[in-house]
Amino acid sequence: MLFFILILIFAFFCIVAGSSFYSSRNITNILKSAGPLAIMLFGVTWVVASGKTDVAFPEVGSLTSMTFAYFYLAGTTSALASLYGIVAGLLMGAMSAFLIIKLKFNPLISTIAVSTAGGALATSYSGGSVIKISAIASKTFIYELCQWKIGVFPMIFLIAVGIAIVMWFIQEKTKFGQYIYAIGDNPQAVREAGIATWKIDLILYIVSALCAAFAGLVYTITVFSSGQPIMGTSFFLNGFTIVFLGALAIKLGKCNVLGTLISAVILSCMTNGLTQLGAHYSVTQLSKGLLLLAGVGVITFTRRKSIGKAGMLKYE
Amino acid sequence: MKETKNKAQTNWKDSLPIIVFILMFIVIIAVFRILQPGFLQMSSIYSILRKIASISLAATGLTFIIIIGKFDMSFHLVGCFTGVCFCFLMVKMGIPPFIAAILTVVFGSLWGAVTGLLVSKLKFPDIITSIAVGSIAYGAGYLFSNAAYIYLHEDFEKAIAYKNIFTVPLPIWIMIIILIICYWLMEKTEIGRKFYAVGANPKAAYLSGINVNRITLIAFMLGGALVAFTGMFMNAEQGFASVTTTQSILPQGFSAVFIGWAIFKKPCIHGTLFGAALSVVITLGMAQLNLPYFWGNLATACILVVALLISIIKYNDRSAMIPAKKQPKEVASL
Repeated sequence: MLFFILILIFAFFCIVAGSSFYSSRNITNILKSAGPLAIMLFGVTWVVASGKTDVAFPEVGSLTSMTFAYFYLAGTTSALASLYGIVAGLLMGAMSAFLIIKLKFNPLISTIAVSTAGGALATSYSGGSVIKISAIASKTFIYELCQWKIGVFPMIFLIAVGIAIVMWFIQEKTKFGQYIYAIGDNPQAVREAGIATWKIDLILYIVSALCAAFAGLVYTITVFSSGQPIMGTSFFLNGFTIVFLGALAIKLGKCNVLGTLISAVILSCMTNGLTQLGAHYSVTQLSKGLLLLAGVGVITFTRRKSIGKAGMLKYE
Repeated sequence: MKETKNKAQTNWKDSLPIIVFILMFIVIIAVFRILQPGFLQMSSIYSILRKIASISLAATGLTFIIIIGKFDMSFHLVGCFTGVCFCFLMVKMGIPPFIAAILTVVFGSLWGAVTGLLVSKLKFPDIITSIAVGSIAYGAGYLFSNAAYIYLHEDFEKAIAYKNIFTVPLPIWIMIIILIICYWLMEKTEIGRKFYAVGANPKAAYLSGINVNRITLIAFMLGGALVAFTGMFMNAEQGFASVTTTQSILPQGFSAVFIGWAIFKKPCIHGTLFGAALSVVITLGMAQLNLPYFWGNLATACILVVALLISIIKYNDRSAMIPAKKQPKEVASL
């Protein structure tokens, strides 16, 4: 179903925007912007599949980005600076996991708290301005890596595909992955069955932070070539749109990693096409919102159909 | 005899968090006062109250939604829309401020109605639906503003944010009136009881004859209408309308509601006002000490965590829930 939407959108823009849209260079551009976006959301996909939320991922990205830029300018090697950046991101993930598991906070509220704190820390490196690293960024390994491409596929997209396949395998073929789905359906039952759900929650939040941190690093080096203190609202909205659209693919109504990858491509395809048509920013924003609503609607209705009406009260 | 003693003890225990929070509030104000003598002058007290008015109105809207057990992740984005819409109506269309304000509140509650209908009638998941609707509202805000600032004339600005009635600015009057109405609605009337009933157990509420869908719809509409005031005030205060003005109030709104929850053991109007006052005083106090603004954000996050901690500790007293960590061992021993 999601493939169908992708093809439909792609065909639409091919017809309307013409050859500049389906040139191989533009396709490379679309995939290039979809790659890091998808990587950022793989972890969130797992968290959402387990019935929780993680709204801290943009701030994890920006904290990683600022930490990397700060240490890189201070003279550490790029590998060490990336390590510091990723560790900073992981600490945020561990923090939200601590609040949720140990103190039993609501996942939404605790990630809001963590993301606010993380955003504040990210701005504190420079007092709110971006840290430019453009002059030296070309030396780093990740930058070189992202310049390669095979055919129309940029390397960063292939990395995203690789990660997606590994995570898909884990989610579908291992016990751990099945537990994620099970917790999403009924956490109480999983706990009663003797499974340490807190360990799974911990892994989910750490993986989520790791993915977001890595994507933040990629964004810093290749896209922005500067440390960005505020990644904020647009990543947040795009992120949830992508994750929930992803639930339309392959396993209907369940968030999964491959679906996230496909819907990331859809979204960047749409953004690219609308920009080429010279559409207003608001049109892009509106269509994203409508797409998300449509996605949620389809999921809700299929789920209700599969549950059936037996034992349901009228208001349900 | 013993019983009365116990009762007295529980009462004392109940009011402890309120006393602690008031003491904390006084200590915080005193510290800022000592560090920065100009902190609570007559001129700056109004700027603080004005800020409290904007934050507490948005947070009160959120309180209704949290009372019925739902979440709204997009009230700040609806605020972005309403602020721009208000200034657009006044500056570009020439509608007088009073009518423009009424229209804006209606638009705000319409956004709430969309979310409310989807969540109540069609059973969409609340967090995602509100994010989607907020995203649409944000895009619509861009449609009005054309991604540029709309500058307000001075008389408009004076008419809304800086108009004084008995030397007190208009936003503060509006806040007081609305909060009193909301307090009365929640604490003294039947509909308030219904809100809390739906929040405690929607199924039981439905079975006892409450129209759960209608209550949900009303809560979301109230949320949208109240955040419209915040959008108007914040944009009118700064003298120009921008889509991004209210984008950063999300954590402040949530921390206000949860501080109130921690103090009064339930999400409530007076608690939210208290929480909003606390978070605004800390943020503005830090700004007046010439600390960079992100320390204020960090402080807001810390307050939120502390508030949650207090409310969670109280929950654990009452609920018989076995901690998730211990359960597997017990099952294994069985």
